[in-house]
Amino acid sequence: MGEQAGKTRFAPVYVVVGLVLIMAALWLPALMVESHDAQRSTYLFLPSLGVAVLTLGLLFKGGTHAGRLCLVLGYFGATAVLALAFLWVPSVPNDAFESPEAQRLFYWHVPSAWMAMIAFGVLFVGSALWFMKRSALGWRLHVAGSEAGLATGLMAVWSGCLWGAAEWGVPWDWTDVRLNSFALLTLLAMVLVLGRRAQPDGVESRDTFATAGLFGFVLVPFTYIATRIWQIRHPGPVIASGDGGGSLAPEMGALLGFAALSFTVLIVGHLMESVHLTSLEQRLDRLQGKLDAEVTD
Amino acid sequence: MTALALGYLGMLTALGVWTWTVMSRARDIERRLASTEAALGLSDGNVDPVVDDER
Repeated sequence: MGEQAGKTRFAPVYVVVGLVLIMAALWLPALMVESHDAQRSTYLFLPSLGVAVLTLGLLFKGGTHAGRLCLVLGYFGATAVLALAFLWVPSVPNDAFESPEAQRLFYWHVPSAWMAMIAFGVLFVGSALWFMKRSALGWRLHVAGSEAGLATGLMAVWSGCLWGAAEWGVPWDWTDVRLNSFALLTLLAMVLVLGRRAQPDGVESRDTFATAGLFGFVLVPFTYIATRIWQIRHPGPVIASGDGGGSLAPEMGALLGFAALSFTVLIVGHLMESVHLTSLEQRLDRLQGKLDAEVTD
Repeated sequence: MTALALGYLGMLTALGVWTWTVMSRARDIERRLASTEAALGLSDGNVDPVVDDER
């Protein structure tokens, strides 16, 4: 107990030290070294390393509050990413964009979609664990995955609409397979979240939602390959394109890497905290049941 | 640029609200659980009532 409490007290120190390190790593080189585009990707290596080391520290030493601390760290990392994307990296000239200013949305849209894919993966694993093993942890993962999938899916759709309006002149294209399959995934998450809140919790309702989560996952690989097969409006992959190269400038790639790391820490924190939250709600339900039984007796 | 800045601020606010909501919900339930368990002299640990009922 004492050791656990010690770990919990110790963990915030990691966050504070890490935030100071991240800020120092972000701004000190910019102050001390003459600004040069080629050096920008080097600057971003340091905060990325800081976030990675801190996250490992939190996961191993954070105790019961590891999820909450990852959440805070991920949120600060995401804020740093968005600030950098807005103020710094978009100065990179890139002819691939019709609307150069709107390319700032890239660092928000792509990590949001990345987080959504992680969340839908967790939803699938949780649904499978519940369906096959009646695992309590599986159900908690299903709940966490669907809630996180809804939030991150909406972020990706919202940023995509803004970008589409600037780049294509229309926020949505109903003929684009990638857009519509991703919207269906987000809709699936919405049905699961709202449906669960509208139904009493029981084996039958859990089976129904887990089945939807299992079969709905088919849309994830379909969404991933959609732009490789049908490129209608949504552009094809700019990284991991499979042809040995990408169209990203090094600075953009470095910031995207930092963004992917920060947003991953954020979604991992959300998923851990959500699993913890569901577990607490189940304990509260259990106590309520006991109280009701005592009153009835 | 103004629309973009507003969009960015909206995104940060939405992320912050989502994060804060999850954390405050957890803290609220932790408080309620601790006081209920203390009042009843119970400590259930990690249980899932639906899984328990099925067993």
